[in-house]
Amino acid sequence: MDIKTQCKGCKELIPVLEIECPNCGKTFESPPNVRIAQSAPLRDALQARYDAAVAQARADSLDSMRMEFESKVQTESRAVLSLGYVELRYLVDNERRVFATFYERVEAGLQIPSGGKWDVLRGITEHSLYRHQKKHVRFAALSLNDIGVHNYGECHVTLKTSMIEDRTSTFEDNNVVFTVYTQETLMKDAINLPEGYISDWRDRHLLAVAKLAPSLTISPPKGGDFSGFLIDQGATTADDRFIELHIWGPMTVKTIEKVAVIPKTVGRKMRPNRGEISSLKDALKKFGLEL
Amino acid sequence: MQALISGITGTALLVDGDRFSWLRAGESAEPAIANPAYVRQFVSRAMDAFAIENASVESIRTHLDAAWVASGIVSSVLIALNPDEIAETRRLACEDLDDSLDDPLAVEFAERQLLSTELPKDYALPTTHAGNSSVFCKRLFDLQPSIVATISAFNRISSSNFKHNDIDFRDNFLATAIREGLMRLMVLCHSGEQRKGQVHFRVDQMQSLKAISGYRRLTVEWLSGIGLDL
Repeated sequence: MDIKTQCKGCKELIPVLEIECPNCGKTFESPPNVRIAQSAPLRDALQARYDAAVAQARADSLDSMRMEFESKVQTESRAVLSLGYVELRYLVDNERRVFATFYERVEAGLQIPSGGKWDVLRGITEHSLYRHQKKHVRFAALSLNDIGVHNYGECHVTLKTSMIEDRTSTFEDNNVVFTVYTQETLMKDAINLPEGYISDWRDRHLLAVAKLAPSLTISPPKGGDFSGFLIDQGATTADDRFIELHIWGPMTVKTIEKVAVIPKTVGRKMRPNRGEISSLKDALKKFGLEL
Repeated sequence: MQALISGITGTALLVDGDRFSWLRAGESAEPAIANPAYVRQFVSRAMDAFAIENASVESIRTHLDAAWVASGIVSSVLIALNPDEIAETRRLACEDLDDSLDDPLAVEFAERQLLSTELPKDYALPTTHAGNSSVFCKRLFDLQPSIVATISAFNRISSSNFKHNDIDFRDNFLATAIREGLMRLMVLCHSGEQRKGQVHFRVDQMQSLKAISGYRRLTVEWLSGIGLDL
């Protein structure tokens, strides 16, 4: 990733992944993921994809549908984290707790057994687009109905836009699936961000149109409900299709705007179960949140 | 085939060479191919995961279903006993618990967590509920002295036995011992519910524990703290 940012203090060009200027110590106004998304080559490439998608929609006589979709994404789409009950309770039970990033969880949590047959797991977990800054990034999905990706948990947490809009970038799909499968890049080489597949929060509608407008002819949304079009819930995570959000920096229960729970039921057993849901409802009330 | 099983997420990650697949609790479908994104998601969220090796898909499925139910048992117990929860929530938790205690493997997995920490002093049995949940919770209270003794024995392990005196290493060893059932076994042996001879056989099956450098020395010292040996 050879993108550089000019420091407003010393005017030197600094690698984009730095949070503060290594020369004069001045902190950049936006986090690296947002500066990457706003860099000219990536914005221009996205604009070109967007323009092509709009032209195609016009040619297919689907421009009014494209405009309706674009408008909904621009005005109504939100950042939604999908979590398990236990993860959500961890946040809700103490307002000072910070939602851990992927890498913090891996370090703190699971003991992957050692030995050759388990080592393949390690290579996958160490991959990151953000290299040495990877511990700052949290992932979520762009949603039109406050429901995230079902395969990632039963509790869907909508984040307050005002608290994340300046530190969030959007990515075409799950970044690992995209780089390794769609772009057929080896995991170890997947550190160069593709041009045209990233945006900042304010331009998320451009990315949504560039990605999804070509599919309007194949699977037009029914009745103006674009939520299933924006997040295609797969039977497995391999089939999930969604716009991934990269959110820089911490978040706590106070970053949450609302919570929805869709329990999983097997026979007479349900998770979260009735007691868990009732308890969660009470815990959320303390923060003015409803379930 | 080996697998990591997580009750919290209700999923198992199956590893066969460099191929990954996954199973969801309560579903009879064949394992689905797991892409790298899924693998990453699993590894980051399956904080309770434990490993089994040389296992069939059926055996993995059995363990997974039990682990999934177990995570609900743990939640229900902690809600049912918590005096800060409202009465209706505690009643619902007792009913959930009544419905979940019919699978012995699930109960064992739940006990791995429930027998790893002393309950808060103000926790109490709900007075208005009878049934399996009451019996289960009463036994949990009866086991508290053995839990305290086992924790105390762990805290007496010489810090020089932990690699580089590392606090993370120490925490990781304890977390793994809890996840794989060593601590539960020790509590039950201390209380007289289990025979001491079980320990050697069961430790040999604890794959993640055995992957920790120096596990044997640490385990022996811990066991000796409550009068057991390996």
